[in-house]
Amino acid sequence: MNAAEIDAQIIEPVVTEVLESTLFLAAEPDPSFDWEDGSLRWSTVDLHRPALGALVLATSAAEAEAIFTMLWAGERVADEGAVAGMIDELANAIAGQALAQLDPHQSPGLGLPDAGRGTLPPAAGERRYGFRLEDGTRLGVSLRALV
Amino acid sequence: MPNVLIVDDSATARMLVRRCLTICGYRADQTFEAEHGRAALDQLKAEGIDLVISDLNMPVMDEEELRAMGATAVIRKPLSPAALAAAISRMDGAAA
Repeated sequence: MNAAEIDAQIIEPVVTEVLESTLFLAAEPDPSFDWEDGSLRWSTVDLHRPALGALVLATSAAEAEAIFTMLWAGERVADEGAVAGMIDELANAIAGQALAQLDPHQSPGLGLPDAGRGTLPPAAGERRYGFRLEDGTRLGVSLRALV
Repeated sequence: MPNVLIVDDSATARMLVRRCLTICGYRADQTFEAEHGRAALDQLKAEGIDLVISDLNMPVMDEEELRAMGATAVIRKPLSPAALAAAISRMDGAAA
């Protein structure tokens, strides 16, 4: 299966559950996420099994820092590396849950998260989803086919 | 309650597990942390560890090596306090 075939029925509940259980904030789909924001911080996780491709989780730099501060409750300073590590972990959890939903009997196969920054131009064979936390923070999830 | 070693290359993930353990009633001095499997082995030798909660997808030591060491229960991220407590309870029951 191609990762870009993972549809809203799978990915939206997974993302909202991961965000809500991790951040203790309600989340809902919101297609207005700005993928052209030059300040984006994102993390890519390669998907190997049962879907092939990649999952990207993105949010703006300011919102990434705000999420980090809320999550760590002041225990850790929000430096660039620490914030990237947090996005990596959220992307990893979302990717693992999404793959598990596709086949609960198969151990999900996924790569290590890889952090990046800047705009994310559309990719061939890609599906994009936007989400908004109840505090207004916005995040985007991209599912990309193996090309 | 057992002493628990949390093994994950992500500091955020380790903090999230620690948060679950705190909700389950574990004290700070009952939880230990390691960034990867090799560091975990050092901690196991040095501390009185009863239980290891480890990520399966890490650099240095991967899922296959960890499973070969005897991992007995798998919980999918994100962890919840209830799922963690249930898994620990099942393991306690199996060990008794």
